[in-house]
Amino acid sequence: MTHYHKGLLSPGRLGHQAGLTIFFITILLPLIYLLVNTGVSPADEWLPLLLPQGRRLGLLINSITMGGIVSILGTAAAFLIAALCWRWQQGLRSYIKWLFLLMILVPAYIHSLAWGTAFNLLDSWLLSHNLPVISFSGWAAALVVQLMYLLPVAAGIIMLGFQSLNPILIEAARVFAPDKDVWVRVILPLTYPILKVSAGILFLLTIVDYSVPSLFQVSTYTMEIFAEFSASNNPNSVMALSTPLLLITVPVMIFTGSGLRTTILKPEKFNSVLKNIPAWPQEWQELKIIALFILILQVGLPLLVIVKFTGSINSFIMAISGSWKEIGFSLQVALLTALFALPPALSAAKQLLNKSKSSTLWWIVTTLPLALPAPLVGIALIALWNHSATNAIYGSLMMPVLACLMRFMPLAVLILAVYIKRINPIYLEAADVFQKNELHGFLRVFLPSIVPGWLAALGLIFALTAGELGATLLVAPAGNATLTMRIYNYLHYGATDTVAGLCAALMLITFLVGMLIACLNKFWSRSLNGREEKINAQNY
Amino acid sequence: MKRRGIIVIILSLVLFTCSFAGGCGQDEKTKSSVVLYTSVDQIYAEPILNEFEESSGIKVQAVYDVEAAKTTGLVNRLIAEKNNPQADVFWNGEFAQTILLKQEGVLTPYKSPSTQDIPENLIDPEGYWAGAGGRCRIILVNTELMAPEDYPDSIFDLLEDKYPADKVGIAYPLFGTTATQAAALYAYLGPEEGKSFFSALKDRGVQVVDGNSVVRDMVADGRLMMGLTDTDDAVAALEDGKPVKMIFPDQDKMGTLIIPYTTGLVAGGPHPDAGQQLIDYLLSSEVERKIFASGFSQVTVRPLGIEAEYLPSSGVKSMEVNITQAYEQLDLVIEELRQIYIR
Repeated sequence: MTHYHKGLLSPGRLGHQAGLTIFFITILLPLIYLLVNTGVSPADEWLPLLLPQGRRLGLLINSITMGGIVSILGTAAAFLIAALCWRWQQGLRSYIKWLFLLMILVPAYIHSLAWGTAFNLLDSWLLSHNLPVISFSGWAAALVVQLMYLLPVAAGIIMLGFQSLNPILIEAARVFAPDKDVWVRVILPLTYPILKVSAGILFLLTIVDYSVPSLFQVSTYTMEIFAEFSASNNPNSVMALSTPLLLITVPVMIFTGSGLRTTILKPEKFNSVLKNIPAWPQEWQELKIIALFILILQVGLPLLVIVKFTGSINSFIMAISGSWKEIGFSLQVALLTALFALPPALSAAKQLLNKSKSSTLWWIVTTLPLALPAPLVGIALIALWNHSATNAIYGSLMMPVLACLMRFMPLAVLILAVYIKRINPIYLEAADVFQKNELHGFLRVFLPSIVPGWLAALGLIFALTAGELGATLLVAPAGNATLTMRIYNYLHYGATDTVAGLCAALMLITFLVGMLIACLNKFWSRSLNGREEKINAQNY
Repeated sequence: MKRRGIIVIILSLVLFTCSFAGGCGQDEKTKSSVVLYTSVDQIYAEPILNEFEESSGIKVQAVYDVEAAKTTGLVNRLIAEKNNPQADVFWNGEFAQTILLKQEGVLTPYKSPSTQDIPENLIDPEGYWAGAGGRCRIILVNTELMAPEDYPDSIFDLLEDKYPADKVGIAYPLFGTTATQAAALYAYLGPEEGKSFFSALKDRGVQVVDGNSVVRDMVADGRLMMGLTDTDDAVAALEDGKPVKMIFPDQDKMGTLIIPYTTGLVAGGPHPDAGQQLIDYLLSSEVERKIFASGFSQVTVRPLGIEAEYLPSSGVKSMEVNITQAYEQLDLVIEELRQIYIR
């Protein structure tokens, strides 16, 4: 991306550097603060915690095992589902695809409740037929729930990978080979790098989660971190205890980073969109059925639970009527986070695409906050921003926005990087020739070309922010709460009907925002394609 | 034109959020407001706070804790904010974390006039905190899975072989009121006996779940026969018509642990006067009565002449344990029990 880097003081370069600085302040400053603060505290507070031994080593192994299994199985299942949904571009099925992606908003507790209820019913049936019951507990249960909970994230990443496949390669392959060979010899190898990215992200999200394993009595390292936080109330010792997780993150990110380099950094240049998506091969109908089965279970079971416990439309209205303030606040936080994430994420994405050795390092640094337990993000932000000089920011809406930026901006970087690389290079070269100045070319060619990426990142950040709890709880301004905070409050009270109603409301709001984004994307793509066809016609 | 339309929509969204953004946070922190951090469930606390707002004209800006955050939520926020406090009052559903905040230098002494009729053991001698109301640690049983003659009458019955281990549940004793109960048992029985009880529970293979509300839900829907939980959780299930019954354990032995709610004034908080007014209100007999009626607490610390619907008519024998002594066991409890329960 050399088009906008003409001189050290050029507007493009300055803008890029400003974006990187904001990215650095938002993402890395809290992390650096935690590391430095821990480093300067008495060594006996944190040194013994750096190297897990005995019981802690066992817990770390448990976490790695769980992360490994979820990442492998989750990526495999997500690949099948993404492949199934790839052809669902129009009509009702395209909405099902969106609904599936929105399932990331359903709390893990609802998945657990859904699966627990399903197995209870199954056990009743088995008992009535004098058959042995199946106990839904322990590792197997934790793995199933965690996998189902994170499946939309993995599938979303893989769908993004499908979007960035070179259509010329696929269409050429389809001329010479049946669809089965196209899948095995072209699509699978081309998407392998993005599968690694998906596996890496799933691994990270699993090892920092304690909620699902603890529901099924599986002890993990993150639970130990929470116990340490409860016992010591000392962020330094918690940071030290989290360091092994961060260290594990580095090789995982190098592994997934290599995937990024081959997928995003060195793609074949292409300038068209794949119109005829290869059909699912006849020989793989069993896999198609498996994918459909998993998709139905992932979406259907929690939705059934939500509908069953919500009861009626009246109950749903009752649930949301007392929560307008929280709904409004959640919308503000989610929208602002999504909008503020885009400019710095754009700079970070461009940095990631720089063809230099530092791109792997940049990828590691970008994704490192994903391995940080959410409460630690909140504590770091309090330490950084809670001063009399910054009181205007601290205690305002900006704090949950900053927390969610730190937690989710890495994913926006990934999405934007994919879309930047999809820009037709001819446009950029033309802009180089005809632009009045860099800003002119940037605003008229570069930015409009990545609008679909902006919208996709906006939607993802919106959805994830709407569901964030751990960090938001620590920095939410007094007198305000997000809808997710209210859901967890009612969860404790046992108001399953209200919880289900609020979950439905959260999904509905995000679904509507997602639909709005999809419509904007559709309008924009049509407008862009129309212009492209016009230019091509003029050329000929 | 379409592109312009999209830009207009995006700009409208920015303006919408920014205009609302100005509506929260700093500008609401007027002189007639007070900032409250509370771990009392929002469903119980909100009506009480609304009434305070109406009677005093002081706007309460509350931050509520959630069980899912374990005990790493508001207490750690208060400690992290110590150098530039944002809260005025901490209203805690139990006592251990309030005493911790006193030790951490987060609280400042305030002797509320509302404490005049509160027993001395619920008031910090130095005035940093005071408590009222009370939730009990009870055994919740599923009445469809157990006959009355089989109901347990002691927490030690949870160790009895006649109850299948996988049908007995407790929350992780490292967090929340289960940790407080463990600390109280350590103080009452001695650390060794306290540890051996929890160790025996773990060795037996009882279900250790994510929180007291999960214990309540699992007993209510029949996945467990019985489990240790709080009375407020149990009352929610009873009022929902679930087939459950509260057993107040050890009535002829050491008694049932009663956990009061506590309040503390935050040192250097932005609205100290309003904070004191709120504490006076929260510790008043009026609020104790209201919170009793709401179902959050089932025991009053003053003779208010009211009876809880689900309490034994003979009353509840309270476990005689000193609050501060129980708190002093908490570090040891978490250290020892995490070796047992997280492995």
